[in-house]
Amino acid sequence: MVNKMKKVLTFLAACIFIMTTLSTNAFAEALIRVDVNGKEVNLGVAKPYINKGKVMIPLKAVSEALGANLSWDEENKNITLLRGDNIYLMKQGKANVYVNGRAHKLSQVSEVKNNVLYVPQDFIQVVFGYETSYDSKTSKLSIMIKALPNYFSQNFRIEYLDDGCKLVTDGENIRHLLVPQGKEVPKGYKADKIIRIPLKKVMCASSTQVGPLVKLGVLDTLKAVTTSEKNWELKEVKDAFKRGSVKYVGGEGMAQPDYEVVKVVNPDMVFAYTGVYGQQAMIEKLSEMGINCAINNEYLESHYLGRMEWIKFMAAFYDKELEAEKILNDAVKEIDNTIAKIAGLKEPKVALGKSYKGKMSVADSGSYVGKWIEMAGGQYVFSNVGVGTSGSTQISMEDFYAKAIDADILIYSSTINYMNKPTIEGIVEENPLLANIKAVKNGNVWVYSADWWQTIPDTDRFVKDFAAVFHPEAFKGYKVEKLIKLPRK
Amino acid sequence: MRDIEMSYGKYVVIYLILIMVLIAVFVISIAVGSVKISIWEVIDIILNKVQDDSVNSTIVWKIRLPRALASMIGGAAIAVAGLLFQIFFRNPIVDSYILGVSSGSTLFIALLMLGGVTFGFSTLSPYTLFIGAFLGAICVTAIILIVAYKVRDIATLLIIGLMIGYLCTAVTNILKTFAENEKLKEFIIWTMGSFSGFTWDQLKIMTIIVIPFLFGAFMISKPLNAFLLGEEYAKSMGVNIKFFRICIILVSSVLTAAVTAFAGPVAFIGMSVPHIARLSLRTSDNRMLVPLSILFGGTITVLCDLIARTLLAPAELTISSVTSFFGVPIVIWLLLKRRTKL
Repeated sequence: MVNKMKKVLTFLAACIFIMTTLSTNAFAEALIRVDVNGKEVNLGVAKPYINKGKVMIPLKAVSEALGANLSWDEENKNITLLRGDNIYLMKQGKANVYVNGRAHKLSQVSEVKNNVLYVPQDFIQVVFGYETSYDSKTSKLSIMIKALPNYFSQNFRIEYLDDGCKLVTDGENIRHLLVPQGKEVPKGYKADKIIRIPLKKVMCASSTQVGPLVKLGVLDTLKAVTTSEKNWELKEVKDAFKRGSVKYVGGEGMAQPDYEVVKVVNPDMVFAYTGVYGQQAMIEKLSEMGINCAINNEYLESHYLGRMEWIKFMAAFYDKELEAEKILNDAVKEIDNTIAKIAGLKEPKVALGKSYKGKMSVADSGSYVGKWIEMAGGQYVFSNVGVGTSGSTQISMEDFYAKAIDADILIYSSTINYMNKPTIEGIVEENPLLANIKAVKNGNVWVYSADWWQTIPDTDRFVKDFAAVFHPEAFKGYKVEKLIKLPRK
Repeated sequence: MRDIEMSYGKYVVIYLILIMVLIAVFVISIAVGSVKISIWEVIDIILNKVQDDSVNSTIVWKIRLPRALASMIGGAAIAVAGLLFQIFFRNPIVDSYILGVSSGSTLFIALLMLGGVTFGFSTLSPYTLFIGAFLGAICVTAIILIVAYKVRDIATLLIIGLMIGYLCTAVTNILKTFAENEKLKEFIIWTMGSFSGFTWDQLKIMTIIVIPFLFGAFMISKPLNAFLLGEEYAKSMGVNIKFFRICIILVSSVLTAAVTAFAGPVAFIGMSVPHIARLSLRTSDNRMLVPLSILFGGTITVLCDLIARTLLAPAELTISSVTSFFGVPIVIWLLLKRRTKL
């Protein structure tokens, strides 16, 4: 009896031993996890593995988690990665990566397994410049980002500290130490403010800052705005007003908000802007009231992608900056696609401006719209006006007339909802000389859409719509949204 | 003799009433706002110095109190400045801005906001605009003082003041012509004046400048009476005319400048309050009018600011539109009823 018991026990022990060793081996094979600054990356069906001492990671899942735009040329087996103004090329089955044209050799050749392309871990260092380390005990590959790179804007910074904390420097060099809810505030860092993230109650003191929140899917945190309900064009914000989840706190037309209402909302962050005609007085008052402000100076950027890049700044307060990075890089890709599509097409002459009391205000050629016209394959008739400056310039009606007379397309630079009479007849009534301009005669007059100033993260869409207006033949079936064609009457 | 004693008794009563009205208006102004807080809670918060992070305490201590104090002190200063100028020019239609003080401020603000001239200050500082506006006002005052020292004739001085005002406005208009729309809007909002967003720090600075000069105005009220009867008469009474003229211009300009720098130009108070004081009490004794202007100026401005911020809340009216809208009927009514010389 005792013998039998012993046998059974030995057998059981052996079973357990075999099972555990088997399973740990199996886990080691199957469960290499990848994390970015301690946050696990969702790899989908892909399973990283070890080859000659290096962790092989799925290219697509990891690159996209890090915010790069990835495109695949199935025919030539080429892979292109975009990060801001950097371009990375590699060929399936080769070990070389071309970083902006310069070749870098990876430790191993990329491999395809079950339809997933794997690259060695040093790919991360070469392409992204982030350190990696592999812990064989926990089977974890850690990607460590010290600072998120900025490509187009140098006016904010996002740096990473331990334990999910971040140091975000805003548009006035104020340093915000972002600490996840419930975590302890790390010591030894020089910061001006300590902010708990993700934010729960936000106020935006500029309507242009709300678009990024919509894009990031965090509009539910928006509780107060300084633009009243009727002046919102974003559907999501209109809905939020109807639900009552967002409140107008005064401050329209650049006046100061009603501080009492702001205090009732008690936002844990107010996004505001500075500059020569910024909101310094409001910021001063809010800080006296103990309400935090972060400076988002997106409107001061001279580059339209710099303006868009501020979505990363907003996203950092929600731990979504890598998603923001992806949104930015996808837009860069879309713009590249648009430019490729119209390459070599005949360039129409484009005039852009609006009249006010007999004077014309035209966009500087260095402004966003000036640049968009050129990028979208248009010939800007005022290309010598405001070179290198990014606003608008007033010119005489004579100058306007002389240059714009044979323009194929006239973009009347007013948002449609601010026009008294949004028709060609309407603008001609205001300024009869416009009637002689070729574009007006042919009925090819466009104005800005109502949501023009509230959809900054749609930068790629603006370029595409410009291109589609200039080259309708290349965009058959595509619906232009950011520009509205004026009817005759 | 009995007459004078009686009138003193009358004034004491009137002062007491006015002080009580001012206190009442002040308390109402702190009790009323876009957020409803009961008056008892407001009194509790103030008397027991409840200063925590609660909504009501923040609203009372950090929003309503500094703002009400600012409009009270600001209104008093503007009113006294207007009174001094009216006596100085012996002209009932001048106000605190008559010598171009506000056009000087406005010009400097235009240079800052529209011209991008920063005078070397950081654009972040909320004091940049204050310093700019104050500098502008002081520059114009300095010019006027130099002129006042050279020119004897007061009418000439008045015209020169107006001319400098026109000149500043012209330059401002040039800047406006070339300004972008958004900048223009911000600038126009500034020129309309508002006590919105007054912080305790700003209030401290304004008070430190205003209080000594209000006191100064009170000190010169006796020679002002002599001045009212003509410079020759004042001279015969032992008043040093040259020094006295400079005193009046300096006191009233600094009072105006300090308020304008923080709140922008506040229309109408400077012109109407001295009239309201004179007409309602039927006196032209400046020893009475200076404190009366302080009380009336404070009360009316606090009341107007209350209307400005509550009528269309959360949007806000500019202080000048309210002061004019409600002030004009009062002044016209008083004028039609008047028995005192202006």
